[in-house]
Amino acid sequence: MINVGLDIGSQFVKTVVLKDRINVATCVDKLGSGSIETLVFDNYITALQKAGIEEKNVDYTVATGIGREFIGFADIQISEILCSTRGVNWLPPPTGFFLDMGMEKAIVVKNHDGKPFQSFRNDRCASGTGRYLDIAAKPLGLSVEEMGEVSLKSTKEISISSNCAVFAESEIISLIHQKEKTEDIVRAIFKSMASKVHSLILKMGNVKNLTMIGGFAKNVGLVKAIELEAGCEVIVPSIIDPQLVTALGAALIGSENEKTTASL
Amino acid sequence: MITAGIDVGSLSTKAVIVADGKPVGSGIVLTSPDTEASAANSMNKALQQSGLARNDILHVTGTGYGRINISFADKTTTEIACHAKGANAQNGLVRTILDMGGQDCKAIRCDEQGRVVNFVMNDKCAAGTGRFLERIADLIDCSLEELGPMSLQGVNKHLPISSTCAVFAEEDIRKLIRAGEDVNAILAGAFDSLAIRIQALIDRVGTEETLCFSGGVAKNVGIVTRLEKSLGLKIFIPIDPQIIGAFGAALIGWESMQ
Amino acid sequence: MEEKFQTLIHSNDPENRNKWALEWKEQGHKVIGLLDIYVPEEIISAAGLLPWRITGTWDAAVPRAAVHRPSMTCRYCTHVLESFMNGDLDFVDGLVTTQIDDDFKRLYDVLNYIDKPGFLHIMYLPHTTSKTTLDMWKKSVNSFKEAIETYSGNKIDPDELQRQVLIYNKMRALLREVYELRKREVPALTGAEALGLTSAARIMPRELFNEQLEQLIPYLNERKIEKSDGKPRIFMGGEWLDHPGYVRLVENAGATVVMDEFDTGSQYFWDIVYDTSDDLLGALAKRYMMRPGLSRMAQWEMQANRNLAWMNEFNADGVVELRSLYSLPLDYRYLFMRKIYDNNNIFYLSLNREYHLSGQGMLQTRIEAFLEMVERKSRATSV
Repeated sequence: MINVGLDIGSQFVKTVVLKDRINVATCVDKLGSGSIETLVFDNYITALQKAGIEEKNVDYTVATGIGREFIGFADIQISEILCSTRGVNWLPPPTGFFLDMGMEKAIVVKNHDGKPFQSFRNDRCASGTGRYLDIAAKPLGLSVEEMGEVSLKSTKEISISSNCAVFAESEIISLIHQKEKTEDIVRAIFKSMASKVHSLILKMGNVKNLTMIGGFAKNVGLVKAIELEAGCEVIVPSIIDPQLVTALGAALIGSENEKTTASL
Repeated sequence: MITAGIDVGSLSTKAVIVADGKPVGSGIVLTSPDTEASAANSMNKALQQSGLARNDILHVTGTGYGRINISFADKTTTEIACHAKGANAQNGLVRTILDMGGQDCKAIRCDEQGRVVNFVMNDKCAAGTGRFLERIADLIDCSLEELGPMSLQGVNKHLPISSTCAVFAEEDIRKLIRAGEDVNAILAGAFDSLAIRIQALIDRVGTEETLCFSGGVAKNVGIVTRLEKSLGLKIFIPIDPQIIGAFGAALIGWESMQ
Repeated sequence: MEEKFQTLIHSNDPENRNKWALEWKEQGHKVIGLLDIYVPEEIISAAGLLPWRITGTWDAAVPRAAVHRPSMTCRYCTHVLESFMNGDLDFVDGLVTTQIDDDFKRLYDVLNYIDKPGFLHIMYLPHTTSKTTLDMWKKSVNSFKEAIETYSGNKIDPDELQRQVLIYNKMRALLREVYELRKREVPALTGAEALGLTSAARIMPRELFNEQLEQLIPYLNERKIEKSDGKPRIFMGGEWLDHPGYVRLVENAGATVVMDEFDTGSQYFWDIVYDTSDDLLGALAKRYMMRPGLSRMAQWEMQANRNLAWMNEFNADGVVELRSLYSLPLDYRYLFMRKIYDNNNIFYLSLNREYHLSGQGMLQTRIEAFLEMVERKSRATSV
């Protein structure tokens, strides 16, 4: 049985191919300009090629993510929260909670046996989502990926006092002018983000550990900051790229399609 | 008497050298995280262009966000005062200045000598600043210069674009592009709502002709055309709108030495 | 003496802030937290409790409060809630507030919900002033008195209440005396120092404060602040402004802050309790309600007239108002004030600010530009 999960985010498309529920190929592409369906289809074909599978042999394809409605060639479009929960539930070790941070969202979900039981999202604001890092990185001349390692060198704790991503950018420029070190500024940025995530975790209640998925989970400085602020353990999946967990979940749901589509 | 003005903005650093009130050289560099170096580099460029030596400069005025870091500045003044002075020096009829730079947006009223009489700056939002337009250009994968003409070709289809937050506006535009909407139409809509916001800012100080539009965004023909329409008057755009602040700074320095 | 002064004005710094409240508690007494300037403090003191003004956390991060309060609401209330929730205010036994605006009402509700602190009371302050509303307020003051009596277990002795009124009136008179010294060409203290002083008054037993300030008055009479020549004299406004950093920001931008209308400053002590002969409680109620005040959707004309008079008395060149972000009363008042100041040819700058110290870069630029304008005018008009 061949199942494919497609997760179309605001910056990346992620594809996971499962053969009899086992991960055989993945593909991640940055979305550029042009027709989104074409870009996603190319990514899908590339993944299948990696797996040595022909397109006609695919049994079921599930599309998720904010761009899912544009993917006409998928068999079904399913909401992100269902797919991400399903994906997290498959990961060892089992955790009752997870944090999915993307470019435009930060959401904490309570996982009940693979189904989302309760969730809290960022309050419509960009601060606390990946977008904040994206905006903050520019004046520092760093890529978001570089920021993680850089923050670990920090020796001074400074605070970013603005809650808004746009103002924070101005503030970061001021801090640069005040000769604050890049690593200290980056750490302050992570602290600010972690505080917003902390809020979501507090709403959830007593959370001792949570899994983090989405591309930003690979950012070691951010993960550390969240652990520090929220006082809980953050587990980043190692057996699969955290960025692919939602696509994986989509494929898994697809593999159960005869039994579960009725209840979705 | 030769003086210099250095304007350290969030996107670019500009230096202008003035001899007896007339500009003789200028230099622009991108502002790096080392703002002191950016200031020095722009100054060197201006010196090269003018054929002068550092010793020839009797007074340096610093302005812009990074003015506190210009160790070689004799005095610092806010960019509000500098833009008013610079614009009025280029065109003695200027009484209102709209300056849209990298990080913020200001509307200034001045007297016949270019002295500030009133001003207002954007308080909360970066929508309409250089940074915002830069990001749109990135999104659409074109240059900043191309944005203007594209927006004039498009017809506003009233596509939903947030006018309250730069971040949301960018998200909305991204989604529209994904959905395959015509880029010109998107830009037309975005710039229409942008022009409304800018008009609202100008209204807070009122307009007295001549209105001068300075700053990097003044090069955007899409914004300029829309503002001329909503204001009902011809806008004066200096030959080099980006260096008005530095020019004004140099002039203020020169005047203080008289 | 300077050292004594500095110690006093730094009383509300985070590391010193709780000192007197904790000492008070060690003596077996209780602490009642306050937020606004309308709760009659004399009643609390007369019952043997310490009225203690709550400064919210000065940290930017307020994750716990965010669970109960949306982000775009009064930041002072949110920061106060954060302090209650993170344990910083565990020693506070009770809180009394008025329903100044919806944010205060909601804060009261949330505190009720999370059951912190032990004693909670809200008073109803009318929005207009008339004999009818004054009677309503008197009733509110009366129920407040009864609530305090029940909580403290003591009936308030009228003589003790009278004594407290005298103590508070003395505090008000002393602070007025100090503020008079700001009228001078070279004021005796900076705006930031003045804020430190009034903040100190509100967090320690008032008698103790009076003692300390009284000793300092002769010294302050001779004191002069540095480097104020030629700087524009500025009148500052804003609500819930307790971080001296904001006043320093204006002063560092090139001004001398000679007067304020802060609820944390002049509005706290400006009017005394009059005519206490036959109706003490009534006199108290009158004092707390029938004055211009601040941060209310009312009394704007009174506030404007008062401000204009002060600008004259303190010889101020312009107004810098740093309004609390998302706080409604001054946001609404802004247009009204704009007209009045424009009609009187007064330079007026009104900007939003966060509750904790933030956005200094942006604020500094705007304030400096404003001062450049003001400076030029005052140079032009003074010959």
